[in-house]
Amino acid sequence: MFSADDEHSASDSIGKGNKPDVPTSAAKSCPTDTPEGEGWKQQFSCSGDRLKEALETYCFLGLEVKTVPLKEMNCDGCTLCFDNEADETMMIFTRAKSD
Amino acid sequence: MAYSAGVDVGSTQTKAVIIDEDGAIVSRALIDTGANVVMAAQNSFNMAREDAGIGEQEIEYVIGTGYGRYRVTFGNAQVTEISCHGRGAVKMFPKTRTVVDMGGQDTKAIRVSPTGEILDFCMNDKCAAGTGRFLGAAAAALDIPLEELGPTALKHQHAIRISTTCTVFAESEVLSWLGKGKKIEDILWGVHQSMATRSAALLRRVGIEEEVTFTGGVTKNIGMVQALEDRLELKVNVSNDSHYMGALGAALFAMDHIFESRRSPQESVEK
Repeated sequence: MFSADDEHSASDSIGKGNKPDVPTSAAKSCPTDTPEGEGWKQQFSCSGDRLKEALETYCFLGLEVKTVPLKEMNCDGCTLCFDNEADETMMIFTRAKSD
Repeated sequence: MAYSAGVDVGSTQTKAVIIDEDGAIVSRALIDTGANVVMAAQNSFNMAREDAGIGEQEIEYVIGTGYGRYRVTFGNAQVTEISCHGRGAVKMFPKTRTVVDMGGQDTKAIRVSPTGEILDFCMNDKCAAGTGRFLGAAAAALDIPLEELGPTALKHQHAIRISTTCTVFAESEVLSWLGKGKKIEDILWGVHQSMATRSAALLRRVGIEEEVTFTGGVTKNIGMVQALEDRLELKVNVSNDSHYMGALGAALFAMDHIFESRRSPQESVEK
């Protein structure tokens, strides 16, 4: 589970716009594709080079992108895929640009 | 005749493709990426070049793609793997509108335009569920070589439902079914069905529009092709070169650059 305080600052996000209202409950379990508040759509979690590639591609598609660190990715109590990782795992949110 | 090359440095394998001005593949090479990513990129490129008897100076432009694209030190530019898979898939199967790329470490669903531009995409979550690694875990548990997984699974008679999609738990579940006397082929088919279900869910997120083209290393697994077709209830495009789709896309982008650089300034302005 992460809290609002864990969100990256605007400078950590790609795209523009005000800081989104991403619900803090979004990543309490394996993610779903349920659209979240203010038009944000939860995409998927990843880290490192995969995260970089995903962000580059979503930006190329003209979407506003927000990343939120996952402090805990809880798959039925198992966190093994996320343990001992050099890079922080982030959940990606996207939405259409307002302009 | 000018040639271009694409080098796709994946987490498991590195692929290189050389194409001619018509976009036809003249040579391809595949090696394990291993620990030295820079070396893997260089070696695959050299292998493809030597196989075609093409000198390094004859290859006018090289694009790196895949997660190790910035380690293609001899390359001229980099393009994301997602863009390259879309471009390669539409080149190989022009009616492609949806691509499912299943690699060793991740699975991607990509929706493309008729010209191969990316319209939308999504990827599996951080965990390895639904990726080639899941098959690897099952292969290890059953002590079966990876290349025999698909053919063995297709011999199933009564599919076993694999409840976990987690790579970590897959081995214990597979062994549990073995302990209950279930046949290896039935268990394996269940593993394939589980992966196909995950992939289909990913595809639905971007929207499934025919034709669907299957790319990546897992395309070599005929059981996975069958499981995916069953789940999607449609035929998917697969070719012997599906493994090279990312490298092909990169080579096509590189050829675009060669053609662009040949245009006179006036032509470029008019364009």
